[in-house]
Amino acid sequence: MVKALWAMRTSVIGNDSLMRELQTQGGLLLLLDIIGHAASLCDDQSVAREAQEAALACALAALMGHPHNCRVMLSLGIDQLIDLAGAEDTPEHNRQLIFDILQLLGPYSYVECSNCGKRQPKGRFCVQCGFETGVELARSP
Amino acid sequence: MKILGDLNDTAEHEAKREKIKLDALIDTIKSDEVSTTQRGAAAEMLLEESVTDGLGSMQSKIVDCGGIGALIDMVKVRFFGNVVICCAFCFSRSVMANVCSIAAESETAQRW
Repeated sequence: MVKALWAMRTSVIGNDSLMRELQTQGGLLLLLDIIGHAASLCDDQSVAREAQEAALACALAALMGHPHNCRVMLSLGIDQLIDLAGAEDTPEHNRQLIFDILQLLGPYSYVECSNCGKRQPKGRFCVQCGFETGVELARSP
Repeated sequence: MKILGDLNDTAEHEAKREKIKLDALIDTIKSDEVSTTQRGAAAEMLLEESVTDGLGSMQSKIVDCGGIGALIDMVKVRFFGNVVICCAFCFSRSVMANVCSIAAESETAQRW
């Protein structure tokens, strides 16, 4: 299975049509599932780490130079990737791969207005309704 | 069969054998009559066998025969087995663990 993930990574790297096909066939969702749940799905934790690494490498290959896949990944997996990047039990090499993915997603990030839902690349006020779009930080209880 | 059994092997025979092998792998990937695991394994072998032809050539073979779908299916089966999840939103059945691929795709299509 890990071998199949590496094979997928080799297949898609630098090839637009295979990157698109990977996304249309649900491959990005599958990779996110493996990245997030490898530890609970594999009995052997070393296999889980290898599977997570292969899935991250495959996701990285599917995102490089493909804006559409980056946007899809941003809308589906950004929370999961940020959580994993900050988790203590994430292996260092895998954490580095997550950082690489987050760097690729950076240019496609957006601010969403909590009033009208309009998305814009940056700015403190919504260009559509003028609502303040500042990030709401967690309040102390 | 004559080619495969020829003792006086030449580069031409070798190339023909390779072609037969690759064609057989491509037929397996395209076939509906073999299991998901067999199709995935054939896609893996196709990558290994054609890697010497260069990345571009290997990728065009994978595009032509739908090898990426075979690999995705195999990983799904290996990882999630026969667990089937029913989406509460669109009732689609899927082997995915946390997000329905159909609902996610339609949402993606609307947004982007």
